Amino acid sequence: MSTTEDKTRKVKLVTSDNEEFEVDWEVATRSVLIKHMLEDIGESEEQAIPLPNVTANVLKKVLEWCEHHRKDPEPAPESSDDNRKRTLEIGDWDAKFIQVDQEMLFEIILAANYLDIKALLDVGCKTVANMIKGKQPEEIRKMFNIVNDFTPEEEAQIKKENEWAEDR
Amino acid sequence: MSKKTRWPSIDDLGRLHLLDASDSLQKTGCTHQDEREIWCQSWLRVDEDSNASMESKARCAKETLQNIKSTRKALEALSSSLEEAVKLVSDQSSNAIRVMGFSSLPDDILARIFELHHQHDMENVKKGTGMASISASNVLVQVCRRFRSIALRIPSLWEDICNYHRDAWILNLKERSKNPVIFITYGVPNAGNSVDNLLRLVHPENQWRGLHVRFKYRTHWHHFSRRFLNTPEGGNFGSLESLSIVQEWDEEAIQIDNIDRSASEGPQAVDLDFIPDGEDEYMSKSFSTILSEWKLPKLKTLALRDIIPLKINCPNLQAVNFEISYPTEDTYWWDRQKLAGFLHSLHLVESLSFTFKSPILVKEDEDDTGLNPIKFSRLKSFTLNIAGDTRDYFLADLMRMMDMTTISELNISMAVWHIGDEDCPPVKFGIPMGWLNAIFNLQHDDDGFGDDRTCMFPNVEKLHIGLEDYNQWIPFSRILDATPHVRDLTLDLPHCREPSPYNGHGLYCTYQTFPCQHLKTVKIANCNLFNGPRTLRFFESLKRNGEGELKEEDVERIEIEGCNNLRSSKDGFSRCFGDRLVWSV
Repeated sequence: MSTTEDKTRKVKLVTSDNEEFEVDWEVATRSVLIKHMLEDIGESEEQAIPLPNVTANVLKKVLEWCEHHRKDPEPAPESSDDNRKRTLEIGDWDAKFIQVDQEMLFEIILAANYLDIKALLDVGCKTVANMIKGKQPEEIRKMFNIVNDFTPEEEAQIKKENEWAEDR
Repeated sequence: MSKKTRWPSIDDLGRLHLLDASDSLQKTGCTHQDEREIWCQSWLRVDEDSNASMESKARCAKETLQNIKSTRKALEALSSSLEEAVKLVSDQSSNAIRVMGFSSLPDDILARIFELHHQHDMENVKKGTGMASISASNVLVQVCRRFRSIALRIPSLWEDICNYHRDAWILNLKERSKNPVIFITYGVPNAGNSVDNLLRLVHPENQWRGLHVRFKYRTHWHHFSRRFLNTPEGGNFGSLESLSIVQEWDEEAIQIDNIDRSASEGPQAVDLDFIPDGEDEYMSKSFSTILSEWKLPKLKTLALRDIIPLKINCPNLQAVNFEISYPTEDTYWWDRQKLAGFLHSLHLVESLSFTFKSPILVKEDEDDTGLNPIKFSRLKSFTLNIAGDTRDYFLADLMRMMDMTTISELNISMAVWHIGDEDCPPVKFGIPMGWLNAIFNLQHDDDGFGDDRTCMFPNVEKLHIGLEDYNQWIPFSRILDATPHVRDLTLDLPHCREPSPYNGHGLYCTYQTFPCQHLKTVKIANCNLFNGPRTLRFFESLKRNGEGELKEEDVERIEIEGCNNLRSSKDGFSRCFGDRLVWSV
């Protein structure tokens, strides 16, 4: 539970490229990782939180998301998020926010995973799942520049499976 | 590089000044106050020297301007070159970055993406035909080795098995998922054989995680269910978490079913549980009995359409979706006693959703008014979808059967006729009103407030009311009176009239007389016929201070979405609710 003091508190974050961000406690603690680190260091306001796996341009984007969602309720426990997972729908604001190039999309996903921001990770994963949706293997390869690394034997096995898989 | 670009030349002077400025910036640590310190220190000195002559100042100014212009030119040349380099490197590296991007995602994130992809696919399947197809997961395993390796390790991607899959594929899926979800449809050619085959291949049923059956004729159901009665497990679905059994009525199917049976049964009413004599042991079991005998210790969600089991043994059941209808012109009824028995067995559910499309419920003549309503100790959410010619006395009877005092969320959606159906007759005014009277136990008088009606929903905090039909009126005040603790109210009433700002005594509503004083959020969606001033007047009653300022404890949010007629009163709503008003087109 956050207190009134927490809400006015500022938090310093330092990125892998040594850029420092000062943000509200409420915004920073959308990240479970940062929240736990703050709990570990206690009341010390001066101590900056190092984030060696996130660059400044990515953290800036992540903090933009955290700022917008600062008032959202605490995420539900893992076991009760079934409904959230079942749909690929993304809210209007999130959809606009995640309209970035592939490089940034993957960086945001990795950062959300590292910082333990489940809702943002969901937005990123849903975006990729939406990109894959309805596409054939070759289209997916082309979209993400993935090399078809199957051996001829594996290709033959896949072909056979597809024959089995055809509906009656 | 495929082409040569000619950039403006950079003279030595400009280049030297650029280097000097860079040194200066580094020395000051970018903390200088005056840009002249970086770019023209000599001019700064001369300018500040009170002894310097005008001639020397002019000379120095000329030199300085020449220098900084040269520097600017050099910078522009460099900047243009740099822009081009960024563009070229971006273009050339995008593929590499994309490859790196995707491969940089760890396996668990890719697995999450695959699961989301699959779940979305399956949600669409359930909304559509209800049958699993060779799903999107099969596409993923064909992309590359890594995709294949990850996808094959996620059992949930391979759990959906259907009777119209080929044998080899069914065995393949069975190998990949130990707890499959079985989809049975009789709407395919040679369905009997394919169902037999599937059940033989995916045996035993106590490992199934889900079972979804759709059939048209009673014979289909018997064909399916006796498979389990012939096995040692005998309908033991020990792992089943999700079950749906859907009778797919359609006019043609029913007519065929009736014709078949009418030859031996004579021209009597169609009763789904009527069993002709002389059938074998399994055929003589009714739908209800067979389902009631199934062991379902882990079942969490149950969906039934046009089947009422005698009871259901599911101690862990959380959500029930139940639909009954009136499918033909013939006499057709549902057994009220059986429905009561079924509801009794659901006393531990948390969420109940009923859909009624003109069902007719019959009961014995015995007087049951003294019977206690069924208590649902964990029930939190109750949804009613009412359509067609559903009778208000049917709803009243149903509501009398159930104790709704525990629920905190109530959703009611009504549509007498399907809007847009050209053949549908105009809806008689008052049918939805009759339904609401039955649901909320409202009296047919006009006395408004203060009577001693039993409050059916004393703990409802979230209320949603939707009505599709034209030219109807809803007794808002009475409904709110019957749900005195509502905090969140949503009205989705495209063709209804607005709430009356008058109370039952013909007086304007005020906060003191407003029936529901706990309202915190109100959403008025698609209410296109609501009259602006009257609607505003009604909701103004939510303010404790009348026409004065909003108070902290007043309504927190009032959202108006897509209500054409309310636009003329937008200013009034803004004045009344300030920044607590959310207006979306």
